[in-house]
Amino acid sequence: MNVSADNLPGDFLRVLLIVFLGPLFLGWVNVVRGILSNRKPPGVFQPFRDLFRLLRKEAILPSGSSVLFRLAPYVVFSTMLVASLLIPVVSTVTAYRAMGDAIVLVGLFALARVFMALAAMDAGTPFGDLGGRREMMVGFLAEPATILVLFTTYLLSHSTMTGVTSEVLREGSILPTPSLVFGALAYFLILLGENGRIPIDNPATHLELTMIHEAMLLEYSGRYLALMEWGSSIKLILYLLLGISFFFPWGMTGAPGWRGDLLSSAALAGKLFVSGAGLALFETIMAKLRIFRVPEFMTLAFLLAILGFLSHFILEV
Amino acid sequence: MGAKRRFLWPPQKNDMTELLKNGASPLVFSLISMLLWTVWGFLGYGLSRLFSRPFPVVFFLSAMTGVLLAVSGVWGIVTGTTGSVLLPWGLPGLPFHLRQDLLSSYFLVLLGTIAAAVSVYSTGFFRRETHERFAWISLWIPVFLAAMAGVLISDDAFVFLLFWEGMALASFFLVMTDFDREWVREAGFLYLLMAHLGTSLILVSFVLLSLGSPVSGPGAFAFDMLRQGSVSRGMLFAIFFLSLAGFGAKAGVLPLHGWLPEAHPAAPAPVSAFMSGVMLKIAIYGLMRMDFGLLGMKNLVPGMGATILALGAFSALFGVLHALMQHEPKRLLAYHSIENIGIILIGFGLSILFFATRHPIPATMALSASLFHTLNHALFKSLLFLGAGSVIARTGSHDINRLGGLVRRMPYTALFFLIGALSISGLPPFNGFVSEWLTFQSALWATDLGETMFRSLVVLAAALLALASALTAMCFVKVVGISFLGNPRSSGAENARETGVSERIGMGVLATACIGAGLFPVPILKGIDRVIRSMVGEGLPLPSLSHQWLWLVPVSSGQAQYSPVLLAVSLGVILVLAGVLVRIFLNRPPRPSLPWNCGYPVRTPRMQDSADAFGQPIRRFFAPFFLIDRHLPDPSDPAPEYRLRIEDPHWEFLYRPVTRFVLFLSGLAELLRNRRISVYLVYSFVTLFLLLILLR
Repeated sequence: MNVSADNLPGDFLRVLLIVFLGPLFLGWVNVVRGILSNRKPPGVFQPFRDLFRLLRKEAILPSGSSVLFRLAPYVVFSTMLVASLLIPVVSTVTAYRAMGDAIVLVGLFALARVFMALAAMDAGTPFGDLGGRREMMVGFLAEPATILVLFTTYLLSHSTMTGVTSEVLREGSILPTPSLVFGALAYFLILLGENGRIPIDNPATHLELTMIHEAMLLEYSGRYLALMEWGSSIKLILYLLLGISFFFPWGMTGAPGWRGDLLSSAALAGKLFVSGAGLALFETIMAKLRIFRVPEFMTLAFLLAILGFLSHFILEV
Repeated sequence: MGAKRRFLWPPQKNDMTELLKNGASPLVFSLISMLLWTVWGFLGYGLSRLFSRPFPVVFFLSAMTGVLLAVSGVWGIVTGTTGSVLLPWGLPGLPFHLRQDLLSSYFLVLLGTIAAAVSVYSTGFFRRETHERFAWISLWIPVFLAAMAGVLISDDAFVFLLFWEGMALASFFLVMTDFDREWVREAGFLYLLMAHLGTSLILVSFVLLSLGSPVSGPGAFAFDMLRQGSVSRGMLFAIFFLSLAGFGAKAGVLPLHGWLPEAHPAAPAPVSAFMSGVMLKIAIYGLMRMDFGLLGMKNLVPGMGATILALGAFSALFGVLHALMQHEPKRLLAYHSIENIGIILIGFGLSILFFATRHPIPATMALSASLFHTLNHALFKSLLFLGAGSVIARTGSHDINRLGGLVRRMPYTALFFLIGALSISGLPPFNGFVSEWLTFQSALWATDLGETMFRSLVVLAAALLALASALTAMCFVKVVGISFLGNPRSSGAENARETGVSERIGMGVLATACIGAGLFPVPILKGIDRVIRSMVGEGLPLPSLSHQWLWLVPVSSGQAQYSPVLLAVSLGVILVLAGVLVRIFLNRPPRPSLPWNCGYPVRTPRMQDSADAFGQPIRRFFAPFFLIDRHLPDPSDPAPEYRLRIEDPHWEFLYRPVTRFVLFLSGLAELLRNRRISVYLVYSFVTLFLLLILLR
């Protein structure tokens, strides 16, 4: 019952969809940010143009770097694609077939992060070291907070399988329970931190005092940089999809059939449209935090997640 | 169940022949391994003394013996054999009780495997020692191994403590290998002190336990009698806490962990690998034997589980935080041992908590997580210690701040160390992840616990586990990034050469085992399931293990499942696919050039991160966990000095006050001493007088 070979075409389509959705979503966020800051925005497909330009360009290897430097972009990229197999996107039909649960998902993100940080330290430049260190600093608080959010959703659904959780939560009441509200808030903060968005990191700057993600990628160029950036955009969309399937699962289909799939896809497109605009709005009105304040921000996420499961224990059982 | 052979006291003439005649059984194999190890020890010592040169081949013989012991353990688990034997030595009325049940077999597998791999490594590692040093090491390592095997198969308190002390002393002698250095002597003394403190606590707990034994006399100390005994409730708690402290001191549980970060750097790398990889696990074995075997399941209460759980969670967090502050690789790994023992105890505590509240499913899951992590930690920690040993031997530096760029000079060591680092960081698809995943899965059952306090405790402990595991990843990014990547920070690192072939084989075996246990956890868990069934009569629920070898499903696939093989295969397929696509469409080789470095032209190796800088965010954020002595120079200071010392607060607030108190007491006792003979005669008289009054 478990081997997912019978669903290989479906899985393949899902991965392709995610690979395409990642840069597209990033493009949409940038469009809204452009409009909000009174600029003439680039097109929605600008990230694709950037990726293809990078892929065609010659790659430069910093002298003194090892094979890890060349391997890491592939590891990061393929880890993200494997992670996309563990998250329900359009339907929860394959919920029981996923080859890992949400904790495995957290582990996969950690794997990608470790490889990214190691690759950053490989060239032996101070900026890379700094970026790697800061990335791990954000990660060490975001990871346990994510696990705690998963605990909260487990309390409601008795499953850590992402598909099953969203199936259960979808059938539940549409009225939010306190634990889910806390969980969703914590999750939003984690999403910002893990993906290097404002107020943790500014994807648009190269300022040494503030940058995290960009500092790690400083020595990358050409195809390696393209794979890293592509992987990061996929990571953002995966975090968003996971959040949607936990906290806004309504509209997702649970039965096989193209009609349900179509409706669900439309719902998903709507949710991504709105959440992209929301993310852009949030990023426009927020200021970047000082790097020393970042742990406090992530601690807030951790505490909110703790409040989530405690409120379930105290109020809801 | 296998045949039980009983030998009578007084010894019969044909006991030993009958033991051998009755055919091979796992226990006989284990006894032979112990005997062989002892022989190899004396052989190695004698040969290298006699011919004044090292004989590394004895380590190869040790390795083969380790394989034999592992086979014996696997055999015991697969056939479910429990063998026992009485040997005609020991106290009158208490012959040596030896017994190998499934729990012993499991730990024997662990011991044998690590012994084999580390001994192979040792054949190369100790090749260039002077013959005196070699004789010393090659005597004590096999004796140490034999004593550890002895602890695992003892079946009465006397022989248990005998082997336990043998293990402590052999490892003490190994820690003291470089006894001409003062810090090594201090570390050795501290270790001996802690070891004996632990032993005495265990001894007291055995004595208390024997009070409830159905027979009197020395025979009461047989484990069988202790099992049947019944003690009062207050006594039960006393025994529990005494044994927890005693075994905890050996395992490095907070707050009795002080010896670990001192003793591990002092010992040669293979010895540290044995101590951290195996000896700490023997203490865990003792704890499990005591709580599940001797105290008995029926006597466990939830509070005991909660105590162990809280201790484990704190040890885990504390260990990793201090590991992040270290720049001496073996000291850093020692703090990680404290962390991992904490993780093992989290699983163990959860299982007691769930058993005591009658939830067998999560209880067995937690116990299997704990046992699995015991094995995993043995594998990757030995691997990491060996890797660190090679690096130290080849660069001559005990400070990772003086390393860098070793991945190009020691590629194999770097690869194996990276595998160990990914495993200990709990990343899929390596082995550390599986046991942590199982621990999380069992902690999720907290909802079934009645009391909100226990529920919150379990979830908080799981949160601390997640925190510790993320911090471990950070710490190993630091170690790997600073010592293996980047540019060399010293000439030692610049001129390092790859480690020898046998070292590579030893590490390669352990690295392969880490990957294997990560990809195929189900066969191992099936073995663990047998062990648990034999211990507590309950096993993992049926659906979980009837699945294919591919899927790890603790309860039901709707709740949680994990397939490491599929995960690794899809990861590999996508990776290769991406690589091939890039190769086909963009076949333009990358061009090497200077790093861009934001355009800064000057770049020296000293501009790279140091270990202390890497831990700086942690130092700021978790400041209450450290005692920080930091001195920043004044701008006008002509001879500026920067100083940063981070100390374990236990020294300041626990160990030193206790030491002062003991010294104060001994000072008082000193008042009695150094008198004239007449005063001593008065002492004797008063003592006699008191005895006569009191005992009549």
